[in-house]
Amino acid sequence: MRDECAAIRDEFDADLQSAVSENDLYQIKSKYLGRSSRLTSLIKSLKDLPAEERALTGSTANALKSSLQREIETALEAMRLTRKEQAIAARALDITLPGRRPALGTLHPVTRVTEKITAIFTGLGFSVVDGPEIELDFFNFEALNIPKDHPARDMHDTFYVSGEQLLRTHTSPVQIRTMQRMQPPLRILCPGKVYRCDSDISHTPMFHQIEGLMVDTHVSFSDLKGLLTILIHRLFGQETAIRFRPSYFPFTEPSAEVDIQCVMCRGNGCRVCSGTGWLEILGCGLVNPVVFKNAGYDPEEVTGLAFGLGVERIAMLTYGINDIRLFYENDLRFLSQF
Amino acid sequence: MLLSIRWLREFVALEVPVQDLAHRLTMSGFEVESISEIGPQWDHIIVAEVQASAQHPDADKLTVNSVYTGTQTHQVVCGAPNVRAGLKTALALPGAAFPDGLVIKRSKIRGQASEGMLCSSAELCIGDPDGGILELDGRLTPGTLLADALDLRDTVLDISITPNRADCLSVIGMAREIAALYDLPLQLPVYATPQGGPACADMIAVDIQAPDACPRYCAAFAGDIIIAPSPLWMRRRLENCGMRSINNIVDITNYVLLEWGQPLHAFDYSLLRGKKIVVRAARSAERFTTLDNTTHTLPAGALMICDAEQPRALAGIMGGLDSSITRETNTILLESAYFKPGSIAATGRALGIKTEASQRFEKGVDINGLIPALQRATALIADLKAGRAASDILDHYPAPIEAPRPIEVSVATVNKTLGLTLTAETIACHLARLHMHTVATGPGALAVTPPSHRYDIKTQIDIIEEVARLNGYDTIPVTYPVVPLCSPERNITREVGEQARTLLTAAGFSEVINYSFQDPNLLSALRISSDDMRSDPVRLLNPLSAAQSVMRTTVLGSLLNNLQHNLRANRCPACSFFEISNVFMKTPEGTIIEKRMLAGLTYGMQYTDTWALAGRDADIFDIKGCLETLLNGLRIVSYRFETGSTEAFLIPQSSMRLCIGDTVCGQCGTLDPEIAEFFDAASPVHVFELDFNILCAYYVDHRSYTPFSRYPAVQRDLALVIDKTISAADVCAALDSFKNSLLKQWHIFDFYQGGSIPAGKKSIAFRLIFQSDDRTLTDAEVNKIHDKLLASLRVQLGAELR
Ligand SMILES: [Zn+2]
Repeated sequence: MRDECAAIRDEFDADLQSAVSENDLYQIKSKYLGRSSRLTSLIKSLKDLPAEERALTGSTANALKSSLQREIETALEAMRLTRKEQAIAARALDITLPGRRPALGTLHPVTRVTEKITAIFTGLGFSVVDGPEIELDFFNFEALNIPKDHPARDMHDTFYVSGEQLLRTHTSPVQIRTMQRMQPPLRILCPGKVYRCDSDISHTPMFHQIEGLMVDTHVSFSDLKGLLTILIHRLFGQETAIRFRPSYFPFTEPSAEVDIQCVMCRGNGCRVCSGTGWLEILGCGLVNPVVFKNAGYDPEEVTGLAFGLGVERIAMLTYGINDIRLFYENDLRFLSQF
Repeated sequence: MLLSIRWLREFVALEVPVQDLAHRLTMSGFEVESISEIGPQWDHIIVAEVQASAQHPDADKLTVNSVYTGTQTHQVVCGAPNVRAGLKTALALPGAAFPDGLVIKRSKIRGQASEGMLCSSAELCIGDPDGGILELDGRLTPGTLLADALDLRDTVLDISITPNRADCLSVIGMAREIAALYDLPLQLPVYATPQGGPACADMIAVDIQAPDACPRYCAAFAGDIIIAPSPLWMRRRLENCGMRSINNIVDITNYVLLEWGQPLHAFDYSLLRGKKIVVRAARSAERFTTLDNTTHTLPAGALMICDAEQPRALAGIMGGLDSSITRETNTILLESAYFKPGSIAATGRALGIKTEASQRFEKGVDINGLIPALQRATALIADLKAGRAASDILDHYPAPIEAPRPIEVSVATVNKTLGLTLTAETIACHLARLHMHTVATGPGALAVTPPSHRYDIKTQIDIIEEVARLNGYDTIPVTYPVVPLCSPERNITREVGEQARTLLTAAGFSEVINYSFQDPNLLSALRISSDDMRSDPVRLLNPLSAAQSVMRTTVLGSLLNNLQHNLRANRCPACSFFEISNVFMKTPEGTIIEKRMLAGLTYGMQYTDTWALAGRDADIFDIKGCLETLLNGLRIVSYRFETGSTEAFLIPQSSMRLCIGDTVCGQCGTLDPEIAEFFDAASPVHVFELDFNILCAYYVDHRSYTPFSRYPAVQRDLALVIDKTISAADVCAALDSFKNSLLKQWHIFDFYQGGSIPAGKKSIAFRLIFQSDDRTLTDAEVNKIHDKLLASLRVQLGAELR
């Protein structure tokens, strides 16, 4: 009987050697381990043998059976691995090829800067308010303490639509409209398009402004410095040096212009800052009591601060844009960079 | 304003470096825009003595000169007739550069070496261009730099003066301010009163008929006038401050204007009739010729200076052609008057004239500065020996303007407003430097009287600003407002705008922003018909150009311009743009309404050809799909597209109206190829323009959850053949109307016509999803519904299975 086992082993070895496919291996498996295989019949016939021979032969036959099982599994596993590798190789994937990219548009830089600034102020409890772009002289000038023939009208080259209607030269009229509509305290931000009839290398006849107004019982000039310091540090970084210079706007008093340390040269002086190391970025001040009176607030009861900045200017400094006209040319080579 | 530092130092003993002054001025409200050094432009020009001058051997009009410059002699070829031995003149050495770009080099002129150029005063920009080379004082030392020899050096600051500080539009005004900033005394000279000269009373009588516009009129006379060029120092000062030298008398009036800020006008007395000056308002449509030989039709109320017979000057703006100073003038009347700012501003604007004088009157001059200005002018006439000035000054001031009243100032308010803790003494001290008189009227209460030249100071807040300025804005601390929390007002338009931008950029559209103005021709290019509201845009009264003369009534035109720009400048193969902006409409009643629009455009290849995808031109379904995504993203549910647009610029068969609820929200479609070609587009252009406010109105912010089925879904495809006349929308509507709760979803997955499909028919294939909320569906159940659906489509649409 043990010779029989040896014979099976020899034959199996030869078959295994010649197997080339998984299918071959399954056939070998069934030939040597199947119900009708010689080994199975041999194991089945063990019960007819005498006890001691049964034990001896039994262990040999069972050892052979498990050995054959293991060897077939190993061979199968090896065969499967080879097949997978062949399949992968056959597909020849070069994953360094670029992916399929869905087209992605970009936001206009003016929108980006506007959203950034409005986010800062809505975070501080300011409401964002809109108003008409074609305004009445009253809201754009008179109510803001710029009566007819006031020399400050020279600061605004105004487009007129009729004697009394004009393209707003700043978004300040929205402040007046809001004060007429709402009672203090008030915290509003007015972004939008404004117009001046001026067109050269550094001016476009339309540009964007953001103005802020805060009215309460006790707002001081030092508060104005604090609020704008928050804005500038959020926009240009905590390290940015800031200076407030006296200036003049008919609707604020005291008025100031705010300079930041030049973002191009870090204050050493360059072409962008005309060698001064400083860049003017916004105008501000405490609300002139006359404006409160014109808007129907009691200047004895309320105080306020106001500020205004040009969005394009901030965008030019933030993104290093050197020509304001690029904003309105809408060249894709420009737009796609934002 | 241009400020000469040397001129300034005549009135304030300022010793700090110019850079320090510029910084101090900038930080106190007088922004210094530039600092120019006068002098370096003559760096290579020196005093030279012509030692010998000989005829050029080969040129009739040239001389060859031997020129001595202290240590050496140069040979210089010259063409000036006045060159002669012994003449001291200016020599430009090699390296000297002139404003016209000429740079002096060693050269040969007609075979003769020339080591420089002898200069005329015109070439050196130092005065009258009367030909010939400069003839210098014989006492000057050869070899000295010309700038030093003639004392030409100076520093000029360009200062931006805010409109409220017209009192600083003069050397004295700035000196006063600078003295205050540095706490130095202001040194005003006392001018010697000229002796003799004609007495005013015998010469003229003044009659002010418009006292509101002209409350004060002063005048002085000078006789025996000799019109001549001004001395070099005066010419240089005027030119450094941006004025051209004319002659001694005109220069004196300009010099006083720059120094005192008070415009003067010189009349030729002999041309004034009737020994009379009448100040009156112009009669309606009165005409007047100014000295620049322009005839104006005057606006009503324009203030005129007249003699007994006729107008002689446009008050405060410009003199008349036939009373101005000439070479023959013997006696002059110098006018120094106060004209009300509003009157001058209105006339100046109406006539479009701006002069040095009108700019100062418009902003206001010091009513107490009229006489000092005349005194300065007559003193200069005497100094320059330009004539015999009278000691006498005529002062017609019938109703003196009230002196400024004291302003009550509370120390507590000053400190509360600024966030400072100043004492009453410090405040008074700051104000005293500005010539404001302060009296303590009680504890913490001050009464402050501003000087007459500070007519901008009227209320307490004006005083507070001055205190802040003098104390320095940098001394004010940084604090943060302490205010109650509040909930900001919602701004739906901006909220929806932000979401729409996010959705559209994610769909590949880039945002553009265009001018609100437009070329009116664009409207006809878009075939906007004359009965369309958009055809009659809001017009600007003063446009920059015809191409920007009307306000946009559609945003699409701008997008097409953007497309054209990118095609021309950039040859871009594809682009997708959108813009959210206002358009402006006129109602039939003439009221202007602003409407926010969302417009978009897509053109060209949807994908660039890549290894993975073949590119293809965008079609109408690309832009329609974008709109669907946008609407779905905004959770707008009740929308539908209706076939055919009313826009003449769209192809009728390839356009639609977007309706939301009962409203037409906008139009979408393919641009007429002729119009596309007009904008240089070779492939189809697809556009949309929507009323943004309607999107906002239907925008749904609210989200709610509906439970979904956990049971398996069954998918069935249904390929139908229908008549061509039946639209996909009809089939979809039929599917919608097939009310069966187990038919959960469906979409069109195939569309086909031609080929095996009979003529007049088309095939649409639907993928149907059946699912139950409470059990697993059996095939038999699904088959039953499927058959029922098919039967219903057969009946409704005559559909057959493919
Ligand atoms: Zn810089």
